[in-house]
Amino acid sequence: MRRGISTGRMQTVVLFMLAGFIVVAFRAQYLSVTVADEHLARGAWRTVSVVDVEGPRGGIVDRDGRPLAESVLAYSLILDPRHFFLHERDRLPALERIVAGRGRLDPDRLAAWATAEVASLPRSFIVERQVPPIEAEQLMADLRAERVSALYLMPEYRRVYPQRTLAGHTVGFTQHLGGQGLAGMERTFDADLQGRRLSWTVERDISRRPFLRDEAPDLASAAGHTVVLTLDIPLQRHVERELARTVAEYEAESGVVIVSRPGTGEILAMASWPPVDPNRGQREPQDAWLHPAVARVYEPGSTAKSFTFAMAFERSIIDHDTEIDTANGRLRVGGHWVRDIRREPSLPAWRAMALSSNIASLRIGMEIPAADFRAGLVDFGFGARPGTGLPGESAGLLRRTPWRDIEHANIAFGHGYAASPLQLHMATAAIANGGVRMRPWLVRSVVDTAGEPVHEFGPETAVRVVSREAAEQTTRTLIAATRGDGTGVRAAIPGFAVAGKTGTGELFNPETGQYEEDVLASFAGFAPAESPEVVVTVQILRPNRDIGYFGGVVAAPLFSRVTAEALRTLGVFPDPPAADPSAAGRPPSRDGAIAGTAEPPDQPAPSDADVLDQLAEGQGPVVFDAPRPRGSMRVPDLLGLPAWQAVARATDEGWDVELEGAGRVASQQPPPGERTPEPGTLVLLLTGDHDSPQGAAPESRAEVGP
Amino acid sequence: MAQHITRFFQIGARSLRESPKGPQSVPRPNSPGDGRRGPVDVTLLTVVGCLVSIGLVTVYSASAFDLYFSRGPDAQFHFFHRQAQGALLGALALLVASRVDYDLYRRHVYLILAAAFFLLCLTHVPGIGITWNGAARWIQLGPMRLQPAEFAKIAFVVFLAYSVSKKGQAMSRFAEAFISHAIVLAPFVFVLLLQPDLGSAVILCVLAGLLVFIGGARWSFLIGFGAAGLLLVTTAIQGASYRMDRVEAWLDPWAEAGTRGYQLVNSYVAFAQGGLTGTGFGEGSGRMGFVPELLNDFVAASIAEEFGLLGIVTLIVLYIVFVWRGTTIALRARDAFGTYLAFGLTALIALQALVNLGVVTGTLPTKGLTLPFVSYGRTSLILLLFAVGILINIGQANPNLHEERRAAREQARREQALRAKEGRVEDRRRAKRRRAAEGP
Repeated sequence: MRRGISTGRMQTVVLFMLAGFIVVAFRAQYLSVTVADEHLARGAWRTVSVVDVEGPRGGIVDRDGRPLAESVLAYSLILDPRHFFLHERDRLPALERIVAGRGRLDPDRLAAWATAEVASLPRSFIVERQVPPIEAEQLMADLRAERVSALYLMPEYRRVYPQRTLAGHTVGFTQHLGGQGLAGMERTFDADLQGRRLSWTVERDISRRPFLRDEAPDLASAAGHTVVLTLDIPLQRHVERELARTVAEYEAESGVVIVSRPGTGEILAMASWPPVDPNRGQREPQDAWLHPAVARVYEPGSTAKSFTFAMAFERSIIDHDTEIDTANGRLRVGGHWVRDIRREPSLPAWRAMALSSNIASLRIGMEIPAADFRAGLVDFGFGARPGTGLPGESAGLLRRTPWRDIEHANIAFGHGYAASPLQLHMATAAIANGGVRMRPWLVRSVVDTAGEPVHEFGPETAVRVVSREAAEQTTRTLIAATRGDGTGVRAAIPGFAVAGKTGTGELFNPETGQYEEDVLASFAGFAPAESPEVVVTVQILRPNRDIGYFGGVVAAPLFSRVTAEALRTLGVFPDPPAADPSAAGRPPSRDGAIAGTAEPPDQPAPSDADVLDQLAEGQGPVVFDAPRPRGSMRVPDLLGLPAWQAVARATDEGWDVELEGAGRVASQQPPPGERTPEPGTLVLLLTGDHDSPQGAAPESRAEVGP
Repeated sequence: MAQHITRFFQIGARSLRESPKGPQSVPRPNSPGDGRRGPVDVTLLTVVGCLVSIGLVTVYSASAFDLYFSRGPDAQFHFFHRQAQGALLGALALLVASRVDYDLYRRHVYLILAAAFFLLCLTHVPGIGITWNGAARWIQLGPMRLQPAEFAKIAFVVFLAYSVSKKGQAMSRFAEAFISHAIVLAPFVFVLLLQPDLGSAVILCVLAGLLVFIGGARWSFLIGFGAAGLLLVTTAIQGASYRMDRVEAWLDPWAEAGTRGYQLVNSYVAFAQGGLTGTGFGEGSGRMGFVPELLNDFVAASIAEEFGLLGIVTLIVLYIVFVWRGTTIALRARDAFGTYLAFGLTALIALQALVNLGVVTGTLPTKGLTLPFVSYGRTSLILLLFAVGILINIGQANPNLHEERRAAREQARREQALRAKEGRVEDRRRAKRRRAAEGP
């Protein structure tokens, strides 16, 4: 023992320490390896939790992919009050300055929290939802500058309707601008539109806030399906503008215009006034969301005479020229007087249609047994839902037989039953389609994010209503109605034969049981009459009687303008003054004019007789495929298209393009539809980049967390 | 490298080789040694350097995440900067301590002890002492925030080394070995328990026991020491409900994983997540706030998660090497005070490491002790590096120990041989006398 130190004891101590370290090492080995899996499983709750996240809602686009509804990235602004009042209480003035007054965070609430027990405060409080990204980033930067960390952002998607009110009723809206679809196509295709749910294993920090890891699922790839409508936005815009003009001009209450193609039943435009803005969603009055074209029903009035005539032609009760006794414009049926405007003793069938004789119509209608008549109307689509898929479709009202005489008589000239504008439209289209009624076709397809179709829809035949011959005979009488002294003469379109029927129906008030003085002015028809390419129905409710009253005055001119534009859109042009007979052999032109199969007519503007003769001889349509005259080059409508698509379209048609800004086309110079001798330079103004939900997500990660 | 470091510590020192006047020419005043300085223990320095570096890296990894989100991206280095500051100041303290002959502490032992006790008492003085989480462990001195317990531990080791070495053979007497140390120990333990800081109090008791044991006290005294310590600990645990909770939570942490077992469970999960090689630097989930006291008491959990079992074993190996070097220095010290001081400081650091790792792995009940050199804390780091400086100084103080020892052993052998020779002469004389007595 040197100087009292026991080397042996020191070694003993060191050995004990060594042993201790070795024990700890084995214990560490036990924890890290032996029981690691068990501990991980038992301890998983503290960091890992599985949350369901949902991809953005799919878009709703028109036939060319122009967006009507889309989802853009937005943020929820969330405050952690407990964290704030525990650690950042001194920064209350800064918080108040930056955030107070936003959303649900009012100064009173803050004041109440400031005096409350900290432990009783909530861990999360949604201050505001759907904050646009730029605004949210600015807000977070301001907060960080003030060292406030109790606010954070959660990414979510916000529904926007870039076309605003355009086709608003058809598009519909969603709850909270992004939730469940509550009206229109948003509701019908809710299941398809909804973003796919992904189970996402999220790591959470000590405050249970999700901490998004790099492996976060690509939300954009989980986007819902896109619904492709048959609507054509440029045409829809034109129709809505024209409708608004007419409603304003006649100080009417509301109006509906439907444009479709008879052969397929596809609806190209379905406009209604007053419009609704899906962006306002639930803030619009509840009943504003009833789709005026399918959910509201009116007595079709005189426009339905064509169906009576078609059924009569079908049963050979009348012929084109059959004289019908119109009893000097006054006839007593079942104790009621039925009147005509014109007091004629008798009229040939085509004149009776042209002059819209109630008496003639009821006379031939009464010839058909009530049960047959009713079955005929059902074949025309009355009393049953049209089947567009739009929510709230009405089946209309159609009384069961037996009918009393006055009921039968009323129904024969379009009263005593009710139909939605779309029902009337599809029935008219059946005549245009040679007697075959098509189902309305509003949705072309539902496609996934890769553009692959999930559901595809096509033309669907409902039923043959009348024979081709009966339909053609009806068409001939309807042509007469837009000629000469016919009631629908203002529906005429220069260069085309138009078939159509006016309607001026007094409105039945179910409360008083009386007919009002106000009317529903309507027009339903199609063009070109010989080979119908487009069917248009116009209904204007309660025009100011001092300005205009009759369907032929109020609705027919609108029909004319809309139909002319629709024909232009479809590339159907009137006969040129001197057509080259060899033109028939040419291939269809690039811009999609309907390819004709007929010989070009010898006469530049065929007369009624010519057309009818041709029809009788079974020569087919008079329309032909002519190269477009140079002078009629139209400026393409690029509004609403994404930049790349707009450029592709414009350069395809030979235009030089100048771009300003980024995003989608907001305006263009020259404006769409303007005629120019040849393509020049097209200046496109772009705004608001709406279509980058992906890419924004990774950036958002930095904003999330404690 | 080793040579450079050695030379760095020798700059300006009165080295045997560098002094033109020879080894004996400049005797160090007031020094029992000859003033010559031997080579620096490079292994010890390397081990400490590694530990401090691991600490810096882990402190950054464990704190950056929370700082980033609570104070913004510029603040992520906050704790790292502070710890680096501590490391730099600690390096300075190490340099100074290695250049100041440790005999200074022996001469001023009571002053040091008094200062430590005074500082400990200051923690209870309002305005100076700082209470955090119910414990009054800190004092504010100007811009610095100190934890006097760290200083008290080193001061107490200095006192023990002094006392035990002075008593020498007297250690075999009960009064000297037990009572005298207990008288000094008692007020320290009392003040520490008042804070309350049971961990530091236990460490002091164990250190006292160790040094007294090595000093040659009888086993019976030590049993008394141990019994007293055990009594103290059990009363302390039973006296405070939170300590009882801790023990229960330690025995079955999963039973109360959400509350009292929370810390330990999270430590277990950190080990489990780390596995053999760890999740990688900065990838641990502990940084998200799951392990309370991650920067201090549970820093090893963060290492276990990010560097795995490999990291923990590396840590343990480093501490074992540290113990080996510290003990070697103690054994080669110039005098008994140096031996006890070196061994005391080594034991102080090693015991804290052992207890901390034991707590983090659930081997021992949860106790608030930091992992030396690694845990966050500037005061602790500076003082620990200062202690390493003292160790180095002791290690350098007598490079001739081997020769002296050999010489001493030679001398002893010669003396023995002489004695044996004398013995033989004596034997012959005795034999002569016997023969003479037996002879007729």
